[in-house]
Amino acid sequence: MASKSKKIKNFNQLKTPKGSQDVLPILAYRQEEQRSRLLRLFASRGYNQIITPTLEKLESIIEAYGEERQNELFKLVDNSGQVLVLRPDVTIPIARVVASRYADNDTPLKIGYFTNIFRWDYHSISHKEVYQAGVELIGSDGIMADIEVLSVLGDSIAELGINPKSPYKLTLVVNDTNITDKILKGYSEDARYAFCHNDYAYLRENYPELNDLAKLIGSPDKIISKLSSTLGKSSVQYISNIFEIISKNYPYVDFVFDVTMRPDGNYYSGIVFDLMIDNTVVAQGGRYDKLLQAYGAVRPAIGFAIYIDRFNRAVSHNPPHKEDDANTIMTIYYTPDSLGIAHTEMRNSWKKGYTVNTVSLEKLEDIDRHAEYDGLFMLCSGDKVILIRENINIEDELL
Amino acid sequence: MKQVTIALSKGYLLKDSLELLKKCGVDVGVIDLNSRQLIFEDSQYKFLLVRPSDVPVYVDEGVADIGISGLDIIKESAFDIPIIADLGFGYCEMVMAVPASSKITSIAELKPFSRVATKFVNIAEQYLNENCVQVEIVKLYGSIEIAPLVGLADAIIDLTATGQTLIENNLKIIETISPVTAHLIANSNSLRVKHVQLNPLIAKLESLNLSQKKLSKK
Repeated sequence: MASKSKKIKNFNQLKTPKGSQDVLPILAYRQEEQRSRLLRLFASRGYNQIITPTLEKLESIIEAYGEERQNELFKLVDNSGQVLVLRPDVTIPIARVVASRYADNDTPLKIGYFTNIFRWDYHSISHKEVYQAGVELIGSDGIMADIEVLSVLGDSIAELGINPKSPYKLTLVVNDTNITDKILKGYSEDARYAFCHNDYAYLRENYPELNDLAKLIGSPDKIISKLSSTLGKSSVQYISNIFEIISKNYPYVDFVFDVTMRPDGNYYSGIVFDLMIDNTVVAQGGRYDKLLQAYGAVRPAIGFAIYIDRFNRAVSHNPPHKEDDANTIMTIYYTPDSLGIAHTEMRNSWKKGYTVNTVSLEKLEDIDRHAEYDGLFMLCSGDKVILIRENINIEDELL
Repeated sequence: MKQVTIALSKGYLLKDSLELLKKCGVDVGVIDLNSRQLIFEDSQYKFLLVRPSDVPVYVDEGVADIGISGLDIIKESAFDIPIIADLGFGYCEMVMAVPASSKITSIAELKPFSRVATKFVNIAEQYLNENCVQVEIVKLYGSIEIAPLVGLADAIIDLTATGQTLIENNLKIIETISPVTAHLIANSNSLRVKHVQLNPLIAKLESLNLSQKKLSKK
């Protein structure tokens, strides 16, 4: 399409609020495709979708989200004066659902979702409304539960089109927060913060004994052997079992053991992981046995969330799906007498994977007012396709 | 072998930054300071020459793996970036100063209606909060020293290396807020993805014992 920048008088008024964006056709199509692929995959592994409300009560979210993160929440007041928030996360609403609607259910629950979340982030230039897809496995613990969730994550990334031939570097960073907590036992908040944020300059000055431990980020074998000499073999047994099993399942992924990874939010307790494409974290997850306790339900839980927007950005230079290619836009021009064949061709083109664009013409000659689209063209007249060309000046062809 | 991207501050920190990188075994030969180019790279390293205050942005966003910038700029940026090491050079101090003729001798004596001019709004606000002093902050982009002289502010918070500019503008230091030196920062994701390249570099840096606290103050 011709892209001359026009002056729009009330542009400021028309812009979307900071941190939000309109999802335009090509991206919207891709996102919808990702949504259906992921939800289908989750369901095939027993994780059926649930949909929680966009609005939640502040009091029920803050319990688990943490008072100190209040200012990340978008708040509004309903007409009775109750303070509501736009859901900042999906795991917390799901925990609420489990504690309220499945209180008597002791069998493991598997839940999947794909939805938007809202978070205000002062420093980041990233978006405030983002899409997340993920699963939660509730009521099941032990190594097989952890491995299962990690394997669903691996399958999800494959479902999104990433495979061993993709030009991306995939890294799975894993930690066991029990190890981190053991190292940091008895230390002040400042020390914990510096340790988990890799502030080596501060540690070196104030807690030199933690500084060396805070550098234990690297290949699992090395870190495990270093940690087992300082903390004892039993401390690292669990994570070493995890690495052993998953390294067989993810042949094209780099594994990193990062002992400083202790996500914000105090409900994580056990395995935590980040999946990275190049150096963007596109998915995060972990065991959060303590979260359900906040709602009075004592049940173990583990899950992950894929950040759909970050994923799409991370792969935008080399998209795994072909609909991004401008050449796969098929513009179909048709006249009133060719409605039948045009509809058939639209459906066929769409099935072949083209992004379909249609232009109705009152009469064939009107095409010169419309012939400015990129990609493939098809011109229908009467009961047949009279022209199909790529990047050609249709006017010349007609005259 | 993964390439490591290093954001360097243009200006007075650059020469020392390059010297230090050399000492750590980083080949900086590809950088030509006489050219106007802003990106230099070989197979191992990519160097970005950027405005000092932009270094934290490049590193936070992950387009640079590590960066060198003054601690003042890092703190002012308010990004949650790992601060890896104090590099010792570029020593100066963040101070509060008032006109030499003023009777004020400490931050506590600032009148409630006072104004403080500064380039470092976040640092100023934090320092004022720590001292439980509530005054107005005026953001300026340079020549902070003249603000109290023309009546725009009653005090300033600014960096000083020798104190000479302050003296020449008839100002006196009433508070030393913190020492400031060049620091190495890193992107937290790069620490994981490029641990093979970054771990040895960090170890080497630490072995050089550069912290300004170990140097005698000028």
